[in-house]
Amino acid sequence: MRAEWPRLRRTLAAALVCLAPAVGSAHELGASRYDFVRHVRPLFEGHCSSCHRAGGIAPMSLLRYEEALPWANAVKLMVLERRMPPFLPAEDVGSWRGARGLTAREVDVLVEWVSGGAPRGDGPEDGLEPANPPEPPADLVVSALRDSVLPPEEAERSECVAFPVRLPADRPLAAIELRPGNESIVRGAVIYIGDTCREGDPPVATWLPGEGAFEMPEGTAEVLRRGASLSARIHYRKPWRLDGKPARDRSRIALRFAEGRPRPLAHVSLAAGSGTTFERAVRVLAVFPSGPRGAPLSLEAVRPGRQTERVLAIERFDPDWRAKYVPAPALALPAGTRLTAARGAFWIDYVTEGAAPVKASPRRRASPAGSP
Amino acid sequence: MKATVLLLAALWLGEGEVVLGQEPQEPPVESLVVWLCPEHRQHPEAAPGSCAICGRPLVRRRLATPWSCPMHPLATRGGPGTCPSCGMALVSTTRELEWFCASHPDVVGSDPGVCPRDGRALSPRNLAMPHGDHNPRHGGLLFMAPDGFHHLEGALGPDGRFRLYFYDDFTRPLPAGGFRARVDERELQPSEDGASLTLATAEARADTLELAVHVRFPGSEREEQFDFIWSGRESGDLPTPAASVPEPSLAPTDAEGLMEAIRARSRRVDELVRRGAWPDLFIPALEAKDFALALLEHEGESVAVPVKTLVRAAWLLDHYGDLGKKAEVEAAQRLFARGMADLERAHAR
Repeated sequence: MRAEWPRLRRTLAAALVCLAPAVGSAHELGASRYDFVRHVRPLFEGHCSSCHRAGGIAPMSLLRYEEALPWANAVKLMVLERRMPPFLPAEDVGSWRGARGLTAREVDVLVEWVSGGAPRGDGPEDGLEPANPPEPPADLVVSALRDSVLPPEEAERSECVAFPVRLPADRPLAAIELRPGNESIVRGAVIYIGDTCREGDPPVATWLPGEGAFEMPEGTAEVLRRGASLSARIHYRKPWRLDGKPARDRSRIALRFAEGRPRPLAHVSLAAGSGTTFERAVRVLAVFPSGPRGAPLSLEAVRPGRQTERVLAIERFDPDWRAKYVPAPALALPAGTRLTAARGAFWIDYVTEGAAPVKASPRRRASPAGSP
Repeated sequence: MKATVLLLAALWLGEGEVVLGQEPQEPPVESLVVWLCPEHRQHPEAAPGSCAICGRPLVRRRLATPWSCPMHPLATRGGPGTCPSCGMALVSTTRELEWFCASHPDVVGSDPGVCPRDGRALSPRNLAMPHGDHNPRHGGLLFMAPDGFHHLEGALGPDGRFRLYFYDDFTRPLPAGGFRARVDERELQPSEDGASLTLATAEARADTLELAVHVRFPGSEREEQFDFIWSGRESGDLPTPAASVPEPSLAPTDAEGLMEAIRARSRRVDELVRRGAWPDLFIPALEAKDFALALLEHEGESVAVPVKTLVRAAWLLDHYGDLGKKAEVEAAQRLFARGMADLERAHAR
């Protein structure tokens, strides 16, 4: 890693001339106003440690100075280019549940730390590695039928893994969580009802490292039919420390069932360039985008008599981080609104306003250009 | 000379430090105390301790930003001026400041005081440091190589000849013989004195000249691209040598004043990008983001997203401006412009 003394020069000048009263005595300053122990490690712990910790899925821990330092410049660029923390929707379009990202001040702290020579600072690196939180309670946990194995020569694979749930009766699902058997290699999962990961079906949930269960939004539910199975398209990738070594995983799926009479979700699939017009008022509860790697994606809405507005925008789509995004609050669209997949394709989960709760409604699908 | 070399070596090894047996005095010039590992100097710490990488004790050092002649680095002063040797304009640098005993050169400290050997006041001096001086030597554009060690300067002479000079991390000249460079399929040729690689440019009389130079560094087969742009040449609007320090100014304290300060820096960013003066981008860009962060304190969440966009864009301009990467600089400028537009809208609300 190189030092960036021009930045130091500016920092010096700024500190000495303009900002010294705000940041304390110039003589107490380091080249960066921030150090690892006091300022940067807490950021890593709060935003990155679900993956970047010892034994985590990321190739390195960011919680120990010696391990983080060689990656400092890479971290800087990943943060500046918004590749990390991994959350794809543009920040200025929509508001999303569980949005991951650093604040402006946090970005500045992190980058100034790197640019100022990445000082360690005084004191111990407390809480070196977070312990795994206890697994939340579930009504049913189902294990995959068999292990998934990555042989030594295979570094990455996407595999459909079946989970034989086979309930004796229809049950509405309130939450679904993938629980990796081997956290080091499970990078993400898209979960489907049925045992074949049919891409033509709407995904029922997604999972990414650091995320817990996918909670069905706003008291809705997916109904799992009697005897049905679940399947997950699991993205496996070895970290560099497992290069040339075999790795195996047997993940589980944890389910929580809904109480009472939840509202059923409806789904519509929008192929790239297509749209749909809602004849009744709806509330959009989740959006699942897909498209080519690196491509910009955009989902747009036109309410009656209004101009086009962007509902979801992704600057560079990364299929490694596929997820269902839940608008918070739900996106209320009046009757007559047209939703268009301007760039990329989307599955939309929604409820129709005024629709009666149904205990176990069949899943409804609409054609891409249909009129739900 | 030998004494100087030994002294420098001792300093670099961290063994020239002496305890003067008295409370350190404040130096007469503005400076900053840092603690450096003699081996891993690129990670300055704010307090004493040991190097997190090799465990060696950190040594106390004092950094200052004197103005120095690009051609005669020992000619320094506290502010702008001209070199007494050659008349060139002085440029800002970052250097280590130290005090030594005139009669006993091994007595060196990072604070003013009295020499314990002869009882006379210690004398100040400053030393070059890695990456402490990114000022061009030949009136051109100076970029840093991705390896963090090499630097290169592209200069366009009045004869239309493009000259490429190479430096180390102290911006000390390196012979051009070990380097290879091309523009398109045209290989740059060593100059007669071996100090540069050169190329006659047919475009020399154009108002705007843009050269994408592909460089191979010694020991590497990989090419790195550096984009040199000279714009407004006929109008005399040539990029000035890096004026590498911001104008001292008091930060505005109200939202309107901050917005105006951000707008002024934004205009400066646009101008510098247009002129290809990328090494200087960090000054207005980082000032703009500092003012934007101050605005965030005033206006809160309503400007959070555009302020973050500006922060990201500013640091990207800084990063890629140093490396001479046209596509990345322009992408960062677009991001900066988007952040500005969003900030204007949010501020107006």
